[in-house]
Amino acid sequence: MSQQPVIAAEAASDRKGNVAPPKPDRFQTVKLLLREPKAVVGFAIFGFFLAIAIFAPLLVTHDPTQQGIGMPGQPPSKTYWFGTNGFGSDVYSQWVYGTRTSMSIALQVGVIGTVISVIFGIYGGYKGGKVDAVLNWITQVMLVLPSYPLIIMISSYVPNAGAQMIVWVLGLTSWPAAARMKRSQAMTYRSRDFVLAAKLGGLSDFRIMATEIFPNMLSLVFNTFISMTSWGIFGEAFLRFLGIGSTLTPSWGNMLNGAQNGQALLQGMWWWFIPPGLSITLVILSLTLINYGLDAVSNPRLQPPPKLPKALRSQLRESGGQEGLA
Amino acid sequence: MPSDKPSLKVDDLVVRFPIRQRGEQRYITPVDHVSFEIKPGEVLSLVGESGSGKSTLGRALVRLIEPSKGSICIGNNDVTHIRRSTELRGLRKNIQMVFQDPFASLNPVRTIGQHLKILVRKHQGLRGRQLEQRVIQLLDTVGLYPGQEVMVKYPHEMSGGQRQRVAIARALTVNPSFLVADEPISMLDVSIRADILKLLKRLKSDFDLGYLYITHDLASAKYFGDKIMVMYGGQVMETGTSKEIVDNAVHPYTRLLLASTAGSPRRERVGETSLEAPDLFEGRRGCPFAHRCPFVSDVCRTEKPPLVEQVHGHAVACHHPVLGGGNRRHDEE
Repeated sequence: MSQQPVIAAEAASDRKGNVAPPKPDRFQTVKLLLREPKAVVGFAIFGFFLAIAIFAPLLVTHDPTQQGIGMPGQPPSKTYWFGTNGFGSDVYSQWVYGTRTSMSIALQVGVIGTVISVIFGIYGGYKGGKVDAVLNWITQVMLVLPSYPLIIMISSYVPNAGAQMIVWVLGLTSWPAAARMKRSQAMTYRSRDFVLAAKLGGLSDFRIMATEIFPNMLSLVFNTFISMTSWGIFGEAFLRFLGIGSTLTPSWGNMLNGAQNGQALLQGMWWWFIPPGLSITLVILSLTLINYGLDAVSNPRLQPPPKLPKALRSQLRESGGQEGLA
Repeated sequence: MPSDKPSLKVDDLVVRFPIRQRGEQRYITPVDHVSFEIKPGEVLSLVGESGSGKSTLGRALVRLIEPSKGSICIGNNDVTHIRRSTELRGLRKNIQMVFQDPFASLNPVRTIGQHLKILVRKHQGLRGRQLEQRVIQLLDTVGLYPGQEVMVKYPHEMSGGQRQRVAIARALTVNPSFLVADEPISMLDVSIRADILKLLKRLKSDFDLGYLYITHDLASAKYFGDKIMVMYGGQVMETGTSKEIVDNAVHPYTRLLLASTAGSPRRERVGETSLEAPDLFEGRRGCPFAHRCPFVSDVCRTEKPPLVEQVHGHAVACHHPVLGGGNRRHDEE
């Protein structure tokens, strides 16, 4: 390094040999995440479904909503890749469009739930006092309401609930637990020195929450987003399966509902319910894996000790010195 | 040195905290009727052990805590009970604070540049190139260079001393007249403490800064402070110029502190009678130091000693001051 030492008196503790000037590594977390096998598998599966959702119009072979395209109940074949269902629709095309509906509902639920929980949690936790009391009271009430009956009740009162309705119903009932988690975290940040220093600097409460507290809680926010999204996938399937909401839109839940009503299981039409069922499982699995991966990255104590290079390991084994490294 | 800057006056300040003890609401008074004045460019060292109320006093000055009684005035401006955020912001342009722990006082997810830029932009309205120049200049002021490199660093990439310099730079962004330095060197390596103190000393003369320097170390208080105020149990025990306090301490507690300071010529044995923490409850009687004082008498337990000026500028709150001062040893030994 040809430049001046960073600090005359303390340079020794800081200079890192001859490394180039440090740059802020914004993608450090992402890089770490991509080194975590669980997360990589999770991202791969989720990416696969996301790609199907995005490129759905290019991937379909038939009109997904039309019935009687072919003979009802045909097993998978070259024309009908996933076979046809009891009404003679193409299961593959339904599944492709169903992926689009389900994924979009799930992501929207994730966004709504996360935003509400962040606002309630951080604002209440940072402000304290009366504001916190009111927000916390609302959270508690939402938390004790049994969510499944509530969701069923709300949705059944809305005639012909479309996808948007389901998004709001799921989004607005999903946040309380996450909000509480964020509230308690925000409360611990409230009295930290760096927050006090920002306050002394004259920053507004909103600024402090947005620039000092929120970035520190990013991993928690991502975590919330992921669990909310997986709740969205599950909730959508669950509501449609019960026959709530419009049954015309192709979605995984609607396919399962159709399979149930068309007695697919009795007639051995496994190709009708396996694609949506397996997809729901896989997407939730992928989200869980991503979550585990995030957890491992954000909490290094969960990780096993690093493995030594192979050469070094065998060398140690020969000299009988590996006990100390267990 | 004459200055147009206002001075900071604290008069009869009381801070109390409610605590609940066995279902009963009681109050403790970590700061109990404390008065002092800091002129611009002057350093008042506040010395005392843990729990003596020195940090609470510092936090009350920047109004992180609202005092219960008394007044804090900057010039003619009474800031004791202001609540509105605009007023508080005005106050904090005059007084800033440097925290004890440089590892906790910087946000771990923001770079040094971000820490300073947000404040400079807010208070000086600079943008773009000028903003960057100003931040680099600030970093240079506190001895961090090259600024371009330091700005992109995260706090965890820096040493304790460097972080403390950043914290000082942050306090300087608003061009304050006073700085409350709450044990700024106690968490640092011994080898760099002197550097930080030298930096603070240089800033004092460069910016005509007044300091409330909170410490429990009389040696650094003597080095840095013009005046020393010794606190115990929330009350002022002894106050005077640094030289006077160190050379002619007359309060038994100050003598105890001196005796415990490494390298002090007064390594005498002091007959301490207890190691208990002081009673801070409101309505306590007598001298807070009575239970530990070797010269305690009945009057100490019932009557609070008034702060009486002994020599010019040297005041002591003690019923039995060790007069005759100098390097004389205690008779009891």
